[in-house]
Order: sequence, then C-alpha cells, then structure tokens
Amino acid sequence: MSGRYLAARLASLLATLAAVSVVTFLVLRVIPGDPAQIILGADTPGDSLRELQHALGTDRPLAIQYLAWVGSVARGELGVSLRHQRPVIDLIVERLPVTLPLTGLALLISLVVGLPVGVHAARRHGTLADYAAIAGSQIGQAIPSFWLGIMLILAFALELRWLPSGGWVSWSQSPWQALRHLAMPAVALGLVIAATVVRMERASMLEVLQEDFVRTARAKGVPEPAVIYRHTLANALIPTVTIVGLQVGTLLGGAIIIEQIFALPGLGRLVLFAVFNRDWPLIQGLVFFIAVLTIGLNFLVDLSYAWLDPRVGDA
Amino acid sequence: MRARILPSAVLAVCFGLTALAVHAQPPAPRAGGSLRFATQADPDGLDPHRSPADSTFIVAMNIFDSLVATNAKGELLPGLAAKWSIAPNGLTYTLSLRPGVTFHDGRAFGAGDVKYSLARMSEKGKSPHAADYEIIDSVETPDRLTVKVTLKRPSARFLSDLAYGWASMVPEGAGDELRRHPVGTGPFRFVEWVPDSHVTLARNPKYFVAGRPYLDEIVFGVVPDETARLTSVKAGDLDMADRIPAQAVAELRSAGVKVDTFPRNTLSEVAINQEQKPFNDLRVRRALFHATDRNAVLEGAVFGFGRLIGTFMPPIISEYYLDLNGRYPYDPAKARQLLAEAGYPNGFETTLYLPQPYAEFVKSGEIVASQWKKAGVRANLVVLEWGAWLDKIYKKHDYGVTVIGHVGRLDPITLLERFKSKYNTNYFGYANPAYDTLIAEADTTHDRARRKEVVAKLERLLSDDAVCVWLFSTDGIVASRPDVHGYSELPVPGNRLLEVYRAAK
Repeated sequence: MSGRYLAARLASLLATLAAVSVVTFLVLRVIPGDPAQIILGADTPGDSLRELQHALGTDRPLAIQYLAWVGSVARGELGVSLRHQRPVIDLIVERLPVTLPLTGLALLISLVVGLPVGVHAARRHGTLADYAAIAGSQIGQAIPSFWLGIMLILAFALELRWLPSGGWVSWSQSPWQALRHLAMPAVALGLVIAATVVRMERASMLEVLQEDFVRTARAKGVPEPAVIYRHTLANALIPTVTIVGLQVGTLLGGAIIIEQIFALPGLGRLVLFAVFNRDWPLIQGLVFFIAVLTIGLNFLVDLSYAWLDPRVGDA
Repeated sequence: MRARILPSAVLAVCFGLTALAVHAQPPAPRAGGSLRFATQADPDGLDPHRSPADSTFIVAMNIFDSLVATNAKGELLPGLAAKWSIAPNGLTYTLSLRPGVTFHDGRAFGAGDVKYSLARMSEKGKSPHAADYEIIDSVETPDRLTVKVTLKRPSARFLSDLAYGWASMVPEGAGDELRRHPVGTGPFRFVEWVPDSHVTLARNPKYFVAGRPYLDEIVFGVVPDETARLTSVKAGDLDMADRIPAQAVAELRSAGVKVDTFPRNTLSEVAINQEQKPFNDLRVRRALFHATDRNAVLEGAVFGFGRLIGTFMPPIISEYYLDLNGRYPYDPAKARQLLAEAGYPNGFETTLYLPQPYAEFVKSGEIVASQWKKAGVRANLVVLEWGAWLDKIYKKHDYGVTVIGHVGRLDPITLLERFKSKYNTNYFGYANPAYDTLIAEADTTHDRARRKEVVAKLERLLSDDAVCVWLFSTDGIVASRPDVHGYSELPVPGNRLLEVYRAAK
C-alpha cells in the first residue's frame, strides 16, 4: 500500500470533516427554535429571555460562535453544551459504554446471522432454502427496528419475563446485568442489518462462484467446503465489508430510536435531547464525533480492501 | 359514578371481607422499602435555582425544602420557616426559621443559608425565575433563626413565590456543583445520578418531620418512550409512573396495575391572537367559542379525565375559581350568525397550529377543527415541533389560533398577569386597560375578601372578551403497583414523595 494512497485518503477525510462542521453549524441556525426560549418553556416569567440568551452566549454574532466552537474543538472539548454546561466530549465519553457495545453487538449479530445464511443461500441457489433466505431478508429489511424492539419487549419482558423491559445497569456494577439489558436492543438493531448482509453476501457469493478459478478448483478436485470457505468466501467478502462499513451510519441512526425505546442512556438519547432542545454546541459536537467515527471507519474499510485485494492499494 | 358504586356494594355483600377490602381505607403506613418511579425525561440538572423544568423538580423537591410549604389544596403552610409575620405596610416579612434543621452534609441550616439562597434565586441570566424575586429589596439576618425580607413594593403573592421548588433553600456558598451533586435539607438525600438512566435518593433519617419519609430509597428511572414506560410498570420493572395517557387507563387496570387520578394545576385552551384579523373582532372570537363542543373535546382528547374551565383559572385553585362554563354554550347556528354579523357570512379559512409532542393538545386541535367546520370555519392543521412552536408562536406571535396548555401557579395573579397588555409573553395580544388596572390592584391587595372580588372581575373579563376558547384542566393519572399508597399531587411543578409508603404484602 503506497504512502500516496494513504495521504490522499487522509486529506479527503479532513476536508470532509471541515465541510461537515460548517454545514451543521449553518443548518442549525436556520432551523426555527431558540435554545434559551426552550429552556424557559411557556411557563416562566417573560423578561428572562434576553438575559438567558446573553448568559448562554447565543446572542453573539454567528462567526464568533463558530470560532468559539472551533477553539473548543482545538482544546479537545468539542464545544460546551448549553443545557449541561459541560464539555461535549465528556458527555459523549459517558455514553460510549452503552452505545459502543450496543452497536458492536448488533454488528456481531448481523454477521453471525447474515454471513452463514447468505453463504448457504448461495450454495443452494434456486432451492427452497434460497428462496426462504431471500424472503426472510426481504422481510428483515422492511421491518423497522423500533417495531421489532417493541415486539421483543412484549415477548421476552412482558410474557416470558426473561429479560428486563428496558433501563440500564452499568458495566462496573454488573457486567452480566449490563449484557442482559443490551440483549434485546442489540438483536432488534442487528437483525435488520443482518437482512442486508444476507442479500449482499448471497449476491457476491453467486458472482464469485461463476468465476474461472472456482471452476478450476472444483475441476482439480478441491473438496467443496474448501472451495466455498477458502476460495469463494474470501473473495466474496469485499462487497460485504463495504456494506457493513456503510452500515455504521445506519447502526448509529438506529441506536437513536432503539435507545429511546429501551431507555438506554446512550449517544442516541443524547442526540435526541440535543436536537429537541436546540443545544447547538452539543448537536455540533455530536455530529462532528459521529462524522469522525463514520469517516474513520470508512477509511479503515478502504484500507481493508487493500489488504483483502492487494491490487487496490497499488492502483 | 353511581353505576360504579352500586355493583361494588353488591360484590361486597356477596364476597364479604374480600370485596370490602378493595374499597376500604388504604392500609396503615409502614416505614421502609424502595420505590422505583418512572419519569419521562432526564432531570435538567438537579440545581433548583438553575432550571425551569418539571424534570428537575420531580426529583429535586424530594431533596430540598422551601421556606413555605404547600399541600394538595394549594394552601400555604410552614416549611423551613416555622412562622412569619407581615408588617402593616405590606413591605417587610419577618420569617422565623425552624430550629434544629441540618443539611444532608451535616451543616446546620440557618439565616445565612436563606439570605444566600434568596440572592441565588434572583441572579439574572442564571436563575430562570429571577424575575419573580426581583421585587426583593433587601434581606437582613438579625439572628441565626430570623430573616427579614423587605420588598420594593407590596406584593400579595410574595409568600406563595417562596413555596415552589425553585425557591428551595440551599447551603450557603453552594455553587455550580449543585447541578450534579445536590445538597438540601429535604426528606431524601442524593445518592447518584446516571444521566439518562436513573437518579437514586436515600431516606434522610434526620428529616425534621417526625416519622417521615416512609421510604428508604427512591430510584427515578428515566423512560422517555411512552409505550416502554407503561410496559415497565406492567412488567413490574418499575413501581410507579405519572403522566399516564388517558387511553392506557383501562389496559393498565386490567393488567392489575393501580391507577389513580388527581386534579392538576393545568389549563388548556385554544389561544387566539387578537392582533390578527379576523380574530381582533370580539364577535369572531365568541363565534369560535360557540362553535366548540368542549365536552366532546374533553371526552375525545383525554377520555373525560379533567374538568372544563370557563376562564383562565383551574378548579384546583378553589379559593378563586369561578365556574363560567355556561357563558358560551355549544351552538353552531349562533356561531354562524355571529360570523355573519362580523362580515363573514361564509365563514373563513385559517391555520390551527398544534404543538408536538403534546398529544393531548394535538388531539384537542383535531377535534376542534372538525367542529368548527359546522360553523363555516375551515381550519388547516399544522403540527409544529415544540422548539418551533415556541419560536413562531410564543416568541414571535406569528399565528392566528393554536391549542396549548399552561401550568398553573399557587397565586391567581401569576396566572392572570399573562394577559396584561405590557406583559412580554402575552402572545394572545390581549390589551385591555381595565384589565391592567385590576391586575395591579389584586397584586398589592392583602385583604383576602377584596382580592377575591378583584380576581373574580379579572376572570369575568377574560370570559366576556373571549380571549381564548377555554378548554379544560386535565387530571394527573398515576399508575403504581397495588401496594404503593399515600401519593398525592401538589399544585406546583414537581412532586414530593414524602407520604408515599409500601404496604406490607
């Protein structure tokens, strides 16, 4: 993998981040809603608005507000939340022990379920098992994760009483309980992505199975499992890795809704809070953080192509 | 009601004691146990002087006390001030503090804390309620247990302004850390807050009311999703939840969950912008009132859990409440006639704004709009997200009609002064010099009989001028496990769980 390839990727990464921060900042100011007015609501005495705007600093010129935020990013704070009066990075770090395991587990579930089903469907192309996999993934893609979440709550919390209906116990208090609280939300989130993985993996397996080297391997008498897992799967993984990489956005977006339904104190809840309260620096910091995460992961995905297929990096 | 009592009497006869127990007095209070209480939103900080949000006071009112306390009827009672006297000029209040009270960190509570807290409550730009205390001229502390507050001008509501959660007494010198580590004198002390997850409080064994609180521990669990909140109570993961939607009552009861209702200090209305045509015409506003079948709205929007209001005063403020519900009976023909007189024989088209996520107001608006059609008023519904509603309607007054609700206060003037012509948040655009004069008089009149007369005149003016189509005051609906007793609602934002206990199983 050449240094030039790496440098080009890094430069585009930084440019994207700068663009994201400016666009987010401007869009937020265009959306109607005044954070000071939302703090005061409709039931506090009338003349406090201007004083609060001043105390929050939202009455300053836009350019000054943006520069203040950039300065805060440079200090590693990612801004200071208007509502929490704390650095955004602290608020984010507090939420990571919920959202990272949640999305990680969901991703794991999507791969553990999606890959074998996709491979199996491709091997049994045109059979009943294949059609069942296609139908299943079609349904999986159509089902919204929040609905699946509510169904899981009804079944496993209300009827069977195996799992808690929601809420959170921290890892330090009880890792087992934390895992129990993540089980349903991770499944609800993971199954929807598994459906995409099935379709992608099946399609790319079918394509690779048509290739000459597979026919050659079979002709040479290589045992079928080795054909599938060593020769075909390795090559069919590239598109799947791409799709999974792109799903990070979907995962984080899904987490917003899932955390709300399962009362999990994660990043998604923080995003919703920030938007409804027009906590501008908080939204700004969160979007920036999520952008870094998504772009960073895509960057890793790009690098992984080069590793999975050495031709990419040399190009 | 009668239909419900009769079968239960028959049941009682048939099943003897078993059925009787259902309708008998609640079991004797018992100390101990823990309560997991479901709340809708994470507290907006736990510093009572730095938040206007209900979410703060639902928790903080259990940690802090105010100088003046209140009960379910909104009466003013001794709190951290054991007694008080008002000088004849109505300007100086002498408060005698309760002796022997300590903060949760062990420090003794005294006059210095009161002086500090009053100053902190009045800090402009920091305290959302600073404007309420701007009237304080000076605070003196002649001794450790006496505080003299002098006002800039007489105010009949000042004592009630000391009874809210945002008038909590905090330790002298307490700073911004109160937001995350509150220290008060209240029935429960703060243990931990995991943001967006839960807040845990433990019993204050040194609380100044003997034998209270009953509970050893309260855990406020934050469950924002309504379905999830109801499910958690049904599944027994949480013991209690308030703000239960009316449509869930039957389902919860059939699942064995106890459901109680309480009158609340709230008001909802179709607010009308009288600065905009055609709503500047009194006949049009009266027509809208006649075109609204408010009983049907109450039934349709909140399943009848509430009471109609005829002016801007909820029935829970019983001393001042006037029943003016008969003023504009539902009568579409009369509405059409009034519209014709106003120059709209064919009615008119307008936009009715509804605030998300307040389902009660959105549903009310949908019903109102369909009723208005019969009078020829074609209202297009536009749903605005809360932040956008506040911006467009409350701040910029850019609207004609909207459905909204307000939270009541202990003193009638705090409610009624919204309609003063110079009031900043008078988004109704109501301007009536007679009204302004009466407000000023009621605000400074300590004589209760005279004050009541003046307030009644104000209430009548709001009804006569059809300033809004007054809708109703909804009930608070609370769900709990069957062994939870002693809960009641206060007519102020927030809540106290001082009297709540778990019966022996």
